[in-house]
Amino acid sequence: MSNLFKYIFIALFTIGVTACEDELQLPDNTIEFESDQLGFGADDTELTININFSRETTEAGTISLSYETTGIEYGTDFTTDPTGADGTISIDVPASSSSVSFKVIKAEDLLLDGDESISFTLASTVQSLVVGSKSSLSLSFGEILALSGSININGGGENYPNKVFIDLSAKRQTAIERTTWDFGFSSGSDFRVILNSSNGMMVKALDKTDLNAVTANDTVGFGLQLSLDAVFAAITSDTPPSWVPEAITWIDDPTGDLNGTAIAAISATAAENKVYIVNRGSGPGSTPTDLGWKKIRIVRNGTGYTLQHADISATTFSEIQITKDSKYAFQYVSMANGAVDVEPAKEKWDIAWTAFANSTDFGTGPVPYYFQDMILQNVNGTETAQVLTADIAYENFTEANLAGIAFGTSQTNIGSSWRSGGGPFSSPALKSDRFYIIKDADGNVFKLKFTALLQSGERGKPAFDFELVKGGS
Amino acid sequence: MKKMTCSLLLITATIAVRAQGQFGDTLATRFLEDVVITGQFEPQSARKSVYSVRTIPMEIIQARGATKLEDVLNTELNVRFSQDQALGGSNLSLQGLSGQNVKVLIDGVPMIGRQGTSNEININQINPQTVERIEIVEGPMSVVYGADALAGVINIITKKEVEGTWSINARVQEETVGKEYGEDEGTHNQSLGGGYAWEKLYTHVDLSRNSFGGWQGNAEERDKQWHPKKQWLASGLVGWKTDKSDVYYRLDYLNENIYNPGVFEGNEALDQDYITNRFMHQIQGSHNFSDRFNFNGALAYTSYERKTQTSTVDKITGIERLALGAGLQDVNRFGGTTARGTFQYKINDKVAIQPGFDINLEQGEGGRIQSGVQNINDYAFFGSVEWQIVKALQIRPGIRIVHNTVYKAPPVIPSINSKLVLSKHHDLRASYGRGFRAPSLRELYFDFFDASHAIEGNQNLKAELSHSYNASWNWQVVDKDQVRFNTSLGAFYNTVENMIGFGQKPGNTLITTYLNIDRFKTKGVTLRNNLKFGKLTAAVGFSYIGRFNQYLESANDLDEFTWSPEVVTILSYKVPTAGLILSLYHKHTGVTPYFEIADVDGAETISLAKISSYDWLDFTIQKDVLKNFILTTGVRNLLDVKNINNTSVDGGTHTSGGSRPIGYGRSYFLGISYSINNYN
Repeated sequence: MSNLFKYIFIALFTIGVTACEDELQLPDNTIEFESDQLGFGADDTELTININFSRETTEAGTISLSYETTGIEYGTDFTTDPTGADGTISIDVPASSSSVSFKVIKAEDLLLDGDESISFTLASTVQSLVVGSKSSLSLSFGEILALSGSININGGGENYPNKVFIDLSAKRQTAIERTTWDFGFSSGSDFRVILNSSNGMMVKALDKTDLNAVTANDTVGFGLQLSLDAVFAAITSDTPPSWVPEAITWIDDPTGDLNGTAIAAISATAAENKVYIVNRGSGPGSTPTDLGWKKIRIVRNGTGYTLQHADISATTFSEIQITKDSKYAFQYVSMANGAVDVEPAKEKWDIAWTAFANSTDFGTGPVPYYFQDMILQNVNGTETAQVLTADIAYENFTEANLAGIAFGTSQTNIGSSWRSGGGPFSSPALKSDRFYIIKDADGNVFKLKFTALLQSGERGKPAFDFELVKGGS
Repeated sequence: MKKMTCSLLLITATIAVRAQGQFGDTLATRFLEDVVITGQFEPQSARKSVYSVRTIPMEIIQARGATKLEDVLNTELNVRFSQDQALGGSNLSLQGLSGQNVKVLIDGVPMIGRQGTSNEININQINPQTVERIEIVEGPMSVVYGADALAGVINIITKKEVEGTWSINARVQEETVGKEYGEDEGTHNQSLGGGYAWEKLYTHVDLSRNSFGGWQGNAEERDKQWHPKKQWLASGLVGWKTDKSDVYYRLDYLNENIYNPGVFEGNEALDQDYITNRFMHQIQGSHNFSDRFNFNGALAYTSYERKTQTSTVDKITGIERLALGAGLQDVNRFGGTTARGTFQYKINDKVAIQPGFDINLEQGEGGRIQSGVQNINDYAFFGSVEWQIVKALQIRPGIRIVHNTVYKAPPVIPSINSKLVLSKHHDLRASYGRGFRAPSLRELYFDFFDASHAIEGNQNLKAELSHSYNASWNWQVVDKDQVRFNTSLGAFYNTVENMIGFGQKPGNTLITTYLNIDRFKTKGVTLRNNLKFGKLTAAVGFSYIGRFNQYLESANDLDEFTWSPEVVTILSYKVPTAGLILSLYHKHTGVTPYFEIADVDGAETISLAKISSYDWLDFTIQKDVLKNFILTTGVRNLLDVKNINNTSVDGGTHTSGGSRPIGYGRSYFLGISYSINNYN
């Protein structure tokens, strides 16, 4: 017996260990319309419609849309860009793109009954893309009032490159790259200028009024104060420096109150308008890119503004003229490119998603602090309120429950309350114990529930559901 | 569809070797004599050692039906565990000092792969079936073992000897997790091993599989408070032994998958798998040049890879896909090479010297670590002298000289141990030592920058440095064949300087970094009593440990230490004729107070918080059945402990500050093992 074992053992003793690991596929790259329902506004002559991908395409190709019209005809009543034929529009998709768009252009002097519409459907797509849930779009030739919907916010990804304005009643979102503008000039009767808070821009006044007289010597020490990183480092140090309480004045009042802008009201007396040192904040990137420093001075120009700007040590400066347009709350300006389109018309958006220079308190009083996934509201007419599901479930909330809801008007009323924060060792998470009531400028009241903070594990693409609770006047 | 690809690992070993009958006697005597080797010049009985060395022999590991080492160590005095809820590891502390100060060795070679926020070796990544005994030394062993041996050393001595010319053992154990048991629930453990000895050659192979179904506990929805875990552990050894020398090669392999299911957010849940692969190769050898002069050497290489794989799960379809967010797919790789040698030379009957060298080369790379492979090389020489001054007094001074290529290691580490034999029944030990903890890879090379964080590692860190004082008095009250009783009273004091904490980077206050700014102390007393009376073995131990209040400076009227007691009771009744052992293990972990900063009415206040006490009780029966079978059964966590409360101050009132997971409730196990060798 013993010998038998011996021979078995003297031979090779082989044990196979199977070590199994899951090999998972990447998530589908879905293609879908930005919305399943859109409408022309009364003043719109053309409408740009976006088709979004959940991430960048890996290959170039062509997608085709089929369209069916109701009450109107291609060519006589409307055209498209790119042009369509036989009920089909082809759109080229370059590699590494995250969306494509096409335009629908109304014919001039088009007379409408109000029930004209076009239905677009994704007919074929690039091989690597998978058609998502919004595979068709109904475009009305009149304004729509959405009854319900779900919106995937096109924030652009985990470096939050976009600021996204959302109009619930029109079911429309407008995504703008946050590095495309620097300042917003108020169109109101006041002369106020707001900063690009999405990049964490900060400004500080100098006691000088001649831009050319400002040199690098005037900014000594600014690098260790006039940035969000500097403020954070200061408040977490053992002995916070004495300038910390002042830092909150270097950003705009996060509530959106124009009386609290970091740049003082532009005075009619030119000599009272000081030079400001601007830290443009940081742009998207896996390591945030520094957008650099500028010096600026703003004076009035009749009913508009003149922006003077230059690099810190420059001895000459450039000027940009800004004219007010009462259709918009602000005229946006890029120091590099002049006037740019950013915010939709004054009452054409309700809430916006963005990263934001907010105010927070670490125990030393309010200080500027950069928040991701902030929800801002339009201070021109939008009001919001938070409801806890412990009091009433989202599904059960109806018009009857509006009584007693106290609406807030602060720009940051929703803010970051819909999620919990993350840090180097923890992940942020959606708060499922609450939803929101949004009242737009037309008096429409919606209930809104965030359904995702992440998509495919990635931040910067949150989603929400909404439903009309009460129509406006 | 999820695609499974399986890699096949082949462990091939030639089995053979070795003269018969070398063991029969040693096994029997070992248990009584408690021979230890950790920090020793040569294997000797614990009683003779200048160190206080505790041992846990294989017999106890088997009698307790342990499927992981935590099952054995959790009733040890001064050893505490806390479950790492994020990563599923187990955090150990020794003498009130956290696990990053404990050096875990396999046959004297340091383990690689410190992990988690607590930066420690996961002791549950070792196969209990291959363990001959565990030796625990409290107090710094930094002269002999270098960095991270500040609180002490846990040396896992593996089985090498073969019973007879050949042996085979197989074991199956089934265990409930609380009330849960099933195909995917509960603990399932299988192992198979064998050895063969032929003339001078000896060899061993072991293979073990562990499956733990996890436990939901307080967690919501799909989440689990105790993460499910699957382990494969394999090892093989080939050795050559002559009268004068012994050399062997040993390979250990670990594959572990800890699964952390997420909670649905909207339509999507994020699941994580933490996958560890470890290979440890060792060549160890010893040679006796003469009765007075011998050499021990070890050459080891460990590769340790830890992957975090994150997937999204669709709520409706259940389809799993890779998640895309930053840091969600992550691989940390560590490599470690150890070359170590010690010479023992007996100059005369009174003086012996032990010079040695210890070279440790570590590489690491991974997420949130500065890009590229980071190398930390450590070169050390050490020496100690064991000097029998008079018959009753033995002292052992030692010194280690360290050079590290990255951090500032203390150049010279001294220690002195002494033992005074007062009488045949009394002896006294006293020691002083310096210990140090090396800054971790993360503390040196951390790299985390985003919109609101700027944190980086600091390569100018110094090692954390301790002064440690230990004293103990041993009284061998009765020492007869049938009755043995001894008692020992010990005290220790550890003070750690240059503790690493967070602070502003000098020269750039925008960046938070790691600095040597904190300090910590522990002190305590330990009383141990052991009784062997015929078939009954009883041990009662008591310890009382004070942990330093780190907020002392800012509020001087507070206590410097907070104190917490432990009581351990072990009863074992052995009926050799019936092949029966009944054992009861009980540990009372007392209330652990600690100071914390709490927000009281908007003001930061330092207040006293408490972790509740709890009692852990295991009962096991081991019985020989049939010819070669042993049945082990028992109840773990008989008192059904799950979570215990933290009370802390919040908003001005005492509230429950959350709960700490201790166990998953009362669990039952039944195991059967089969062993056969050429004697039977």
